[in-house]
Amino acid sequence: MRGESPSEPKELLDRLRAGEARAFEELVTTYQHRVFGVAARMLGSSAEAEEVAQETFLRAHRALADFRGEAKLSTWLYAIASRLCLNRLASGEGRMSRARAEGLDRLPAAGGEPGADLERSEREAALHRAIAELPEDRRIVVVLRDIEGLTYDEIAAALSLELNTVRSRLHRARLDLKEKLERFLP
Amino acid sequence: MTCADNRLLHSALLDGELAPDERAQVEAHLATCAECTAELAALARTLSMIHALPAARAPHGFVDRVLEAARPLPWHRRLGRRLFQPLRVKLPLEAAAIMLVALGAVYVFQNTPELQQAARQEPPVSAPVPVSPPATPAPPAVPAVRGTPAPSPSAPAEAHRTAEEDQAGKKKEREAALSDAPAKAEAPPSRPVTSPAPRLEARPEAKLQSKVDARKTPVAPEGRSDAREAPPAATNLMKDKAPSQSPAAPPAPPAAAAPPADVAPEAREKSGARPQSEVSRPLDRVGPSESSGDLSARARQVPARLFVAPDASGRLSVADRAAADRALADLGARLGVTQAFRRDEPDGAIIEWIVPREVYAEFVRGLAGIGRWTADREPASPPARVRLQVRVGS
Repeated sequence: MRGESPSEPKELLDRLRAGEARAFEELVTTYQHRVFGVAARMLGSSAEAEEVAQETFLRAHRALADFRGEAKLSTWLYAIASRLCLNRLASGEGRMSRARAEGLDRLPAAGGEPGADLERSEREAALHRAIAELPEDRRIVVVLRDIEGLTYDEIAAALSLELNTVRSRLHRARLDLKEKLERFLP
Repeated sequence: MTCADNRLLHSALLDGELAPDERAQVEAHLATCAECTAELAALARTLSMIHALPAARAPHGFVDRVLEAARPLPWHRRLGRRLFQPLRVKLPLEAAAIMLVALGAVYVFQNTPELQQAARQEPPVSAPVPVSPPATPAPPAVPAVRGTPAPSPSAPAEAHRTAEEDQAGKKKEREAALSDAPAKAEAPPSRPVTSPAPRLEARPEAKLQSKVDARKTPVAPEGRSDAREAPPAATNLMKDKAPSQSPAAPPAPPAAAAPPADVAPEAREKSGARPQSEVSRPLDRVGPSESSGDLSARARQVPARLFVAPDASGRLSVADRAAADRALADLGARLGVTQAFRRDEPDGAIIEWIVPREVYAEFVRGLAGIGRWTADREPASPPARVRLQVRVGS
């Protein structure tokens, strides 16, 4: 998994189930960027992404009693966030348009270097655009795998898909991206 | 393995997600195919680009906002949300429900004569005993009223005044009554301690009186203060009028006649010239369409005691109202029963009789002979003079 990959302490889950307020704060603090990242890449708008990320944690908070702990907490959160994003996109509420995809360039970035060169910016913008142009079912797989670092099994569990479906969707999505980004490849 | 088959597995190969035998096959093909190897390298570079993307970060304050949103709402906000949200749906529904209930209530009221009558009638006058000073127990009504001499020089004149006086005199009284109103509003504080008893007793009468008047004509703005001031007048009227009535006319019943004899002169003295003007006040509020003759006739019919709830009441359903009126007059004359009040309405007439206890049963039997008699209220133990209110209708 990308970025900080804290072990998912069983202790946190126990505390969450016990209704400890501090445990929920810890959960949000730990996973806020990852959940927000998925929503941002899928929806292309920071405002919508925050809305969906917030809703993700609220739903998790309400459903903690039903969480059986078979999957990792992070996978469970990704599953909720992915479903919310796909539902929103399907309902047309937040369908990502090409114009809005430009907004991805302005997403807050970790460790953003002020002296980043123009070529890099251009490459990143092209990459954002290419991801945004992917069909939603492929985009979510790329986001979960190549940006958030989930395994195929975790993606299959989060999206309730067959493993082979995950594999084929991911491969096709990557081929699309490769074609669109060919001129930036070294 | 063909190149196409091989390339399908490139992603899984790069991710380390191939089974060992698949991996061996792919790697064997790559060792012999430069194109597939170049393709795999391009895909790897693409993935490197994606992996190099900076991670998105949640905006500042996101955790606080989530925690705030997760905090349970206080009960009143939860209730408010449940009741009113979504506003666009629930508010019109609730407004419609309120309208329906209101319309239903009006419909039921309009179609239930009993409710209308109950709204018109004042609840039975509560016993004045607790209000009166215990040291001066209420004497029997008839002797008290009849035996009370007029203490002030003006009292005899007031007592013998009737509504048959000329219209000019009435006008003067009316003006006097109206001009009295503000002064009277300030009068109570100077009243002696003994006077509250009659005031409290008579207040319900005044309310009913104003209701009766209100049904006739719109009450003038100052009518409210008049209505508030009416009680002493009504009490005085009862005391003053009783001796002047014909022998058949009933004396004021105990409920209203309770004020002790020593209170009466004082109260009358305090009211000064007021009683006469207040006697005429109910008549003043009668609609302008009524002639002076009507007023006089009504004045004869309406003793002040009328405004107290009757001892008994009922409905008399008749086929021919004119014939029933004649029969009622005959019945009254035969048994020596006095008609105290009458009000004609489109759907019938309300007549109040003062019936001596001895002939009450016979009188009621007579009513049953005239039409279909339904008693609404029967006295548990009839007083000496039973006030019987009859609603005559078809």
